[in-house]
Amino acid sequence: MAKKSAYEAERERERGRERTIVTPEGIPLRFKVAPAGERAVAFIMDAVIILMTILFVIIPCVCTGVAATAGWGENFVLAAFIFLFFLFRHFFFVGFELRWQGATPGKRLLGLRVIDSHGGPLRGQAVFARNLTRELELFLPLIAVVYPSALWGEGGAWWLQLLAGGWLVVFAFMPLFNRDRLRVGDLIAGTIVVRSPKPVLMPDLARSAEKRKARFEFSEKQLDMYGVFELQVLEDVLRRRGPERRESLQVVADKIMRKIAWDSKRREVDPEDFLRDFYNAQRARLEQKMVVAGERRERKKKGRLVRRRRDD
Amino acid sequence: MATRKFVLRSYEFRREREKTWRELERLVDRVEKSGIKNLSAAELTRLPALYRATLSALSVARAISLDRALLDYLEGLCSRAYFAVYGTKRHPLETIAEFFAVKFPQTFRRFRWQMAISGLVLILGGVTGFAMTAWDIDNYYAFVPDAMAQGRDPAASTEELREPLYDPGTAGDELLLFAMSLFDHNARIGIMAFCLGFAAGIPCVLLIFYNGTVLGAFAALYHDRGLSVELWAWLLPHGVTELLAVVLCGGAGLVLAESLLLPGRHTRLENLALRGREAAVIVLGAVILFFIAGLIEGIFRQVVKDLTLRYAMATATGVWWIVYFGLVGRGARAEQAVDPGDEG
Repeated sequence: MAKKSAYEAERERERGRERTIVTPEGIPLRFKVAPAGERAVAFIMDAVIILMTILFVIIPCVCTGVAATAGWGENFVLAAFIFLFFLFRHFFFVGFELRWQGATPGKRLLGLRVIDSHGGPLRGQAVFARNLTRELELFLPLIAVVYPSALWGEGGAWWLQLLAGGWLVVFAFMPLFNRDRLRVGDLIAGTIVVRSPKPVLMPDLARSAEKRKARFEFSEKQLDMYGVFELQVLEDVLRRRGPERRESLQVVADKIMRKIAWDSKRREVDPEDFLRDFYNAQRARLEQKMVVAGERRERKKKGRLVRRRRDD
Repeated sequence: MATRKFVLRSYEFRREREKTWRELERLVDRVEKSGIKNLSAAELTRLPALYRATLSALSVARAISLDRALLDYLEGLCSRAYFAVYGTKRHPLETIAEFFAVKFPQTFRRFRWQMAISGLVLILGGVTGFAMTAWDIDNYYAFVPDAMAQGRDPAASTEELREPLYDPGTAGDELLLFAMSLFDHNARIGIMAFCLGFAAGIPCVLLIFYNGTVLGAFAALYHDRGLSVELWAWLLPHGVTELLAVVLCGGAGLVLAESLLLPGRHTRLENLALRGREAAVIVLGAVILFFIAGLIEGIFRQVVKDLTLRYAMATATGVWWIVYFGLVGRGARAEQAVDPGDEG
């Protein structure tokens, strides 16, 4: 029971993170706001990519360039370096977000993307706006903390450093203080970072019903004990793979049998077969009620069926 | 027990339409990987059709199916297809061209009052710095930090002050390096001014004002030694562009501040989002101005020593920016922020 409620709590939390965008065709699409942790990981990945590029591509290139042109043009190389570094620092994120429809390499790896918070096309200016603020949110305070004399000369006071540290913390943790996990750049640009997973279309569980005849029959009363939520939990259980699969199927089958007063003593029951048949019957029943009667039962009924007497 | 044929509507539904979804998925994958330009003409017309079919399938599935794997799949596919269909389709180069020809000057004109205020603050800072330093030359030390003065302070002799104005300083190829360091430094300050607008604009105004006072103090010191004409010849060729860029960034910061303080008929956050991206256009343009200013400062100024030529350059840049911001892109229709509902 405890396991189920934890599952339920998770679903509940997921629903809290959902945002809806209505397409011009009038159909609402749901998006999940990317959790702060995933955002942070995506950012760290991007930062690592940037650092690696600087360390292993740009700096070696500059060094060889300077060595090769020593005496007649090394300063051109250095000038180009400063310029390219500026472009790279600012336009790494912008470039990728423009090119990859709102994703940087880090975001892509984690299945995140930037979208316009009203669902419109992600415009270049929004991408610029959300990334310009990185200078203020991150690079400047970072320099202030790590290498303060670069900003205010040698006489830099310790409290300025502290202030910059505080600034960094406030901005870095800003996404935690609002529901949509927006950082300052998102606020200015009107963007939101969402999960954009690529779900794979799994085979329909009901296909098993086509291949073989159902071995178990359920009465309407029995099927009416459960709702959509339980059906989808059952779907998850049936799709799960792994060593404990058999065991969890058994547990769930036992639970259902108790609830719907299944006479398990009649014969040996294979939990997999039983649950597949139950899933199919249950889904058929719920879908039929949904289509025909417009009735959608979300949750199970309380209590359990009581077996009146043996039928045979 | 009769063997009843097991029919599940949602199962049939899926079997009938699955091919469409797979086809859409393949197209969307390709758009995400290599852009919409890589689709053939036939595929381009196919994409919206497939998208609409799948979207309607999603809406049906929500009504009749309880297969969560299917619903999740359709939901994910539809949102990806939605962005592929309604996302930006333009080539980056086209966007850049439009930025310079229309967007940047137009946005500038839209926010001319904020720009004017920002410019006024800079001038006010300059006048204050000048007046205070002229009144008591020791105030110079309060405005200009030692690191920036580099010995150019009231203690220096007139000759020492004059020298840097004509300092050949560096050999030819070092100039570009110098120019780029200046650009990097200035652009960072400009971006900071913009971002500080988020804090209700006060730090942003202070930053511009402070920049003005430094300049004013400099001017007062050189004026005191009768070097005014030469100082401005040294400052203005790049200063026109650079100060303009500072004003632009400050003005963009003010746009942010205003959108927070006077949200009008929107909520504050909505308004910030609306104005913020417009203001970002200005800052992006300003970064380019800083780049140009850096080149002029680092190269032109170090090479050209002639007063007339220096003033001519200053005038030329001034006229150019007036023409650019005053006239360019006037005829073109403003591309407004479009509500998603309006497009399609």
